[in-house]
Amino acid sequence: MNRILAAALVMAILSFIFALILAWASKKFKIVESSKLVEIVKVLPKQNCGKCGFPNCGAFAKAIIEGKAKYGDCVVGGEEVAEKIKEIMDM
Amino acid sequence: MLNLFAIFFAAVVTENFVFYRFLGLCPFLAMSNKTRTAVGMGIAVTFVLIVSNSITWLLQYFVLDKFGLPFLQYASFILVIASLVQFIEMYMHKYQAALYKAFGIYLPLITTNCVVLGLVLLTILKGYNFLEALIFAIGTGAGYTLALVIMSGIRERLDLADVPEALKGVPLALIITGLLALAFGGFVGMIK
Repeated sequence: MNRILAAALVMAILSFIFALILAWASKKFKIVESSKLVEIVKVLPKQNCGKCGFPNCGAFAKAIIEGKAKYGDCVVGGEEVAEKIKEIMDM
Repeated sequence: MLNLFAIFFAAVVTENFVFYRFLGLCPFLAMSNKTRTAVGMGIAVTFVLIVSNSITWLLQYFVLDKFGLPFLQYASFILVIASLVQFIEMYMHKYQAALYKAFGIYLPLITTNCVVLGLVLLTILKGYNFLEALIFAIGTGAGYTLALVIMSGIRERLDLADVPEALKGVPLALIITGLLALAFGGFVGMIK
């Protein structure tokens, strides 16, 4: 009886310790998917033409968030898209 | 000192886990297509081996033996390994995204890689002390990496060769594994 109790206890404590470590790790290594990125990609023309100087619309949206590109750099979208991007960025 | 070197050398060459014990063949075949992923896999496995072997050694001698619970060995060791692999998966997803993608399913499958469980059980079976266990783990990891790198080098060359249709891919890889094991068999007996 004692052994069964000891076995259960040891496994429970071990599991608890590892669960704590993993819980901490899942917070520490959380991947933050920027919601603004998704929003900006939505308003872009999504033609991946590359006229903005970036390989595709996703890269362009990322560059805007990082401040590496201007709002009006999307040639195909023009004024209209620039306004929408500005709105998203000002949110 | 000589004893430690003997353990290391045995784990890397004479008793290589892949070519001598034939453990961990599934990830060995799956991850040896490119040298880059092979090295990444080797490092990941080595890390898991070192940390899990240290933890399970402490667990065995300070918890299981103390409370007279040797039957918990397998269950508790697998718990340690599974948690560790999960931890590494989270870390790699965050900081090594490219390698994470290249690994795919084989990263979580390190959990069931028999090299890991084989190592921790063998360490207890052979009655190593902590330092010896550490060297054994490092040697095993190095041996596994060595096996992966040798294999990936050969397979990268084979991509350019004219291979009969029936032998393409895994069949040829298995034949090569057997030939490499024969070659490594030449080392057996170097260390008593």
